[in-house]
Amino acid sequence: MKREELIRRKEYWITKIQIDLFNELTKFLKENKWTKAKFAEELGVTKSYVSQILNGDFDHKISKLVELSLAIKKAPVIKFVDLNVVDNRVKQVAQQTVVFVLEKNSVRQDFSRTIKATKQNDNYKFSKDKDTKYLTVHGDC
Amino acid sequence: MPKFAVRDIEGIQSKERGLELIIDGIGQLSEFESELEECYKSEFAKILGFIESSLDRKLLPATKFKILKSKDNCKEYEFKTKHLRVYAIKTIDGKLICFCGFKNSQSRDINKFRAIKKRYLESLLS
Repeated sequence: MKREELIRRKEYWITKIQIDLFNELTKFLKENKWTKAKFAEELGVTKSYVSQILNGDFDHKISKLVELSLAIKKAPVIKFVDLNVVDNRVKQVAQQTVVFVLEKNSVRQDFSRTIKATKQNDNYKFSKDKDTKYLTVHGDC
Repeated sequence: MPKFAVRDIEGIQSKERGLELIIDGIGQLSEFESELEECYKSEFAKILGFIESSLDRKLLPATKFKILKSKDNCKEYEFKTKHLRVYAIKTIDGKLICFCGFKNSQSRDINKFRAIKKRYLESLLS
């Protein structure tokens, strides 16, 4: 899914907000050593309501979002950005080239380095090698 | 012997690198998306949101993201929506999407994901 399509889908932005809210609430509960039950009691809501947020499923009224934010001592600052501005940022990023390194029957990604691996028993050890004495091609493989 | 490659996941922007595995020229995530019915596209957008948030080093709820019990030291991840599952491994740069599937074929898909993971990692061995 291209970035231009993704940023025009409501599910993407709803998800981002839900995850941010989950992170803020989780952080608050941890820092204050509160349980879900205590938070629910302080907020005057049910435990299942709090569980819903902690499952990343919050989708209630704006007033509820504001209430929750203030309860965790946060201001719910919302900034609207023109989609074209977000798109332009995407286009700048898209100009970076993904480089593939061809070597016999295996193909490796190369971002001016080579990823190598060694294995001992079931443990892999990865390393990066700055040596790029390989034939490189650009584009899709 | 399959040919492996990796490329950036189309559509996401994040602090860490989000990659998809390409096997014999077929991107595992992009191919899965191209075969999805329209009714699953909204879930796919959600799952991209989860992947992006994870790569931005944000926590995800256990109902959306799981670290699987790996038999080796290469971490395995599962991103979830109601019907979709996306499986990834940890890389030096971030996360590599290796396989995608549905909730109702989960155990079969996890086995397939692990087989792909094993072959890909072995291809990196010098």
